[in-house]
Amino acid sequence: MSELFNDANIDILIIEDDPNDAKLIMRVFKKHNLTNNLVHLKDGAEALEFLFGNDAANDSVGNKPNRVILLDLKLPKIDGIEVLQRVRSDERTRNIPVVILTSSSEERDIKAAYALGVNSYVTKPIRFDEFASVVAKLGLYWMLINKPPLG
Amino acid sequence: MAESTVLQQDRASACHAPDDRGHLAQSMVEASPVMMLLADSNCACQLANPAFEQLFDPAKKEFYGKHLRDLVENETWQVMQPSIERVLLGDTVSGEQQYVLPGYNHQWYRTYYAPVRDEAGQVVGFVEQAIPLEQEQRFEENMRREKTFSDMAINSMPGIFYLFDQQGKFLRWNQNLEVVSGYSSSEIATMSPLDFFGIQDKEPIANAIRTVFTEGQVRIEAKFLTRDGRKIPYNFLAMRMIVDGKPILIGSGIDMSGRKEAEDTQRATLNILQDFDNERQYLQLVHKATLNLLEDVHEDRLQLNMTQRALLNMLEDIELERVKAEQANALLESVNRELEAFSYSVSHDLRAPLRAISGFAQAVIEDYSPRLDENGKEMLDLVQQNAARMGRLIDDLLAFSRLNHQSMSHHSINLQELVKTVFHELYAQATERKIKLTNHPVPPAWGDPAMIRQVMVNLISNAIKFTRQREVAHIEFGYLRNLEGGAYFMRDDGAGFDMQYANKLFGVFQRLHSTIEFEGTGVGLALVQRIITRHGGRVWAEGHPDQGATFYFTLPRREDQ
Repeated sequence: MSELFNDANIDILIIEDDPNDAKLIMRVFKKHNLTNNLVHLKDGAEALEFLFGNDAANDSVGNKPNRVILLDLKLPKIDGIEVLQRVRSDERTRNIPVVILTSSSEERDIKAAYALGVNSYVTKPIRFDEFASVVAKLGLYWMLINKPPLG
Repeated sequence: MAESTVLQQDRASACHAPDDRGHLAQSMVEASPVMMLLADSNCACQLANPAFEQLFDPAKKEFYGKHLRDLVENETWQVMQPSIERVLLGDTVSGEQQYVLPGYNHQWYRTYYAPVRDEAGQVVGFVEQAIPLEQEQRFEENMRREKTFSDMAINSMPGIFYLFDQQGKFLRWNQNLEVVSGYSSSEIATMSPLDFFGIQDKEPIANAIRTVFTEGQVRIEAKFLTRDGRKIPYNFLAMRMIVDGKPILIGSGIDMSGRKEAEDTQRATLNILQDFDNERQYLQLVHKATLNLLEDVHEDRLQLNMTQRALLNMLEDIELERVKAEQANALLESVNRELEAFSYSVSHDLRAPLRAISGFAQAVIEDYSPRLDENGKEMLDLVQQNAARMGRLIDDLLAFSRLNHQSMSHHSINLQELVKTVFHELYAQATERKIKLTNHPVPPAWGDPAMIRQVMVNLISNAIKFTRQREVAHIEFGYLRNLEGGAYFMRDDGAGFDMQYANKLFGVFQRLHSTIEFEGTGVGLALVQRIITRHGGRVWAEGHPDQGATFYFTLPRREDQ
């Protein structure tokens, strides 16, 4: 887990297995002074543990990002679609906005994500300048424009 | 001997003329397994040997002088009567007839009726001889069955099937010929084989038919012309065979239009599944085997069981061919899935590191530029430029590989309109340039709209790119009716190329100009060639250094499809 981890108040959870992409995303957020309260996790298993804790019986163990979860699809161990499914089917996390940020523009992935109630689906641009611009827009939107769910 | 005498006495009491013609002759007749009967012109039994008497009602003790009608089963009499009427008119009648033995056993006999005349030549009676036929000797019945069976088999064959003689008169054909051609059976009976072909094909077909009769076998592809004017590509295989001493052409044709599509699909997976020819060859083998079998059948008419087996084999072969085609399709599908997985992984895994390379180079420029000298900044620029270029290469390669397994649709395309649209789109990205487009009206093209659009995009952007050094560039699109049966062209007055490198123009990643002079990945023209080839057309180019280039391409017309 990132050194930025702050269990009291997390705005953005980034679930991204590519350390380069993760680093670049966080750099963009930092550059735009969006938030310091973000957490990066590198696979689906970590993400589920972070969100729901090890103890299924204890509801208070999990962490809950306030603003948005940025979720990659192709993840080691447990893939993004399954993470999304768990997030959407659990009372505690059901309302958290989830944005898929992936290099896949495959129809089946897009369909599956929307079928599970994703809030947005964004394909990572190939060029870095476009990628940086898209990530900045996402950050601005979810941190400043979008009204987060209450509670 | 004693026993035979007893028999003879028994029989003598039963039915033989009192004026015995001789002991020996009678013994011979009595002992013969051949059934023999002598009757007078009133059909009264004069003499019947024991073999013949099997047909008689055993309840009747006395046969001599009795009318045959009263001696044999009614059903037998119905069969005999017409022959007897004819023999009493003086004809010799032979054939195969089915009689009923008392007890309702049906049995086939080869029968022979001959008139008996008196000295004046008057018919006074007749002789009938009959030999029971074994099961497999029931020639006519089997022929009838065989005919029904082979009719069924022939009609269930895929493709068309026909026999015609050296004068071109159709002797036999399957229903498919009627269904495909749209002609009725009575029309076909009066038609010549050449009536099924358009003007272009008549001469090659006539030659092919002559060759069949002189050399024995020909395979030819031609367009089969239907009654309503459609032309369907067919693969014909014809062989000569001799029936009753006369040469006959036996042939069949398989619709290649579906095959061509399959061929296109298969070509799509290029280098993985070999050319469709393999399967076509296999089809031809089946085709040939079928004809061989039919030929055997006709040469060996008496071996009826073999015929049936042969026809069954033929149906089995067809089934095998179908199964094989299905297997090929399954393989094709799995290859396509692999290719999809490959493109998926290429697009995910190859692009991510590139983004990182350019991203971190950018980060260094942004965060550390005060500490970098000009040389260092320039090198970081080069890192980014190369990462961007590699990104384009990956995109182009992906587009190129996708093209191979993309399915094609066919529509009529207004190329003049398409050129206009594409030109304006591309020109919008080069507004600082002065380019004059001459866009001639051209015949409509027949092809996949998205792919043909890609061709026009690549050719026009090529033309725009390579005319960069002209103050006013000229691009011309048009159609030459007399070139290769009609070819479209895209001409520019740009940098051109040396014709000795013309063959390298269309290779993947082949470039005739340095990336400094003209940017590009070297995939554009390869893509053009692949698309045109998949459509069954041809593309080539002419040019001279600094005198512009012209790209020509052909596309099959709609009626050729």
